[in-house]
Amino acid sequence: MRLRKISASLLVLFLALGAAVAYEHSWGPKTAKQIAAIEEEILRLEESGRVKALRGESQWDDLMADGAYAIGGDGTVLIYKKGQNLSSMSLTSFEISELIVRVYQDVVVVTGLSKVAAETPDKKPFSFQMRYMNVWKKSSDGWKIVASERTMVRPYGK
Amino acid sequence: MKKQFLQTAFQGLALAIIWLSLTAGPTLGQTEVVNQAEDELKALMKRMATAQVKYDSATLDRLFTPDYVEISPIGEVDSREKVLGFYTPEAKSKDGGPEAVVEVSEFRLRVYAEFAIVLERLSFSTTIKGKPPIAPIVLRVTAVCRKENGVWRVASTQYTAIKSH
Repeated sequence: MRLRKISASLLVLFLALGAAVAYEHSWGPKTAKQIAAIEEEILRLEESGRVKALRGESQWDDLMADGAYAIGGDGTVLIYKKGQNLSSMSLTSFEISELIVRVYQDVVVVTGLSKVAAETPDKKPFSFQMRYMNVWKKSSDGWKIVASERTMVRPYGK
Repeated sequence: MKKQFLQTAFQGLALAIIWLSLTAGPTLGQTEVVNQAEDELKALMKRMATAQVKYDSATLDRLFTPDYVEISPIGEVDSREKVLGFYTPEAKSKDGGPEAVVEVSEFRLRVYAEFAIVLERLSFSTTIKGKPPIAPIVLRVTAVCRKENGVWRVASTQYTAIKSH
């Protein structure tokens, strides 16, 4: 009789766990308030990325997922590895604007425009603009970029 | 005694089945789900590329999600309506009636339940009647796809020119 009670309790526990897992994976955020909170969080992370890029930081584990796709402005594909050192040039200015944030359950797609200014080693200033897309995915250790692409902005005919 | 043993064994077996269905079950089934998604997403991407070269906006209309957004190879953000406008018969006439073929390669995929990220290399070879062939345009595309009512659709794309080295 005691065994039967334990079995029944375990069964209820397993079913509850299963239901919780299914809910987490199938539904995600539902209310406008939840979506607004996610948008706010993602914008904060985007800003964090902007500051890291401006500082020329090379460690991106806090924002990039292991195995994330990163497409450069020349169309090359980099598959990010945890702990990877991403060398970058030192920037004098890095602005982001025209942000579009679309929240889908535990995936968020962000597009934006980045205006970058820097200097050559012999101190000659140059600047360029890139349209970018970051795809964020929520995992057990928070929101991480799972795919990103950069496209150089240029006028027609160039 | 024997009856009690069988009862306990049966209960143990039932619990083991429940446990497996909650843990190992999804893991074993995941491979099949990803394989099926890969086939469906490859077909979706092929249909999209073919519809683009054929100026088939009706097909693209079916393949895009209602909130589709595209980043073009020149870095512009184009709305769904604007993109569909590029692929009408009128637009084809305006472009000089080009005939193009697209070669798709370097397919890469990540599937996250109802979402997927697809990467491809697209090579467009275009000819316009009476003119010499245009040099192939080679692009990298990242597509964010979403499952709606059991059907994969494209929610976002970004195209970047691949520079020849």
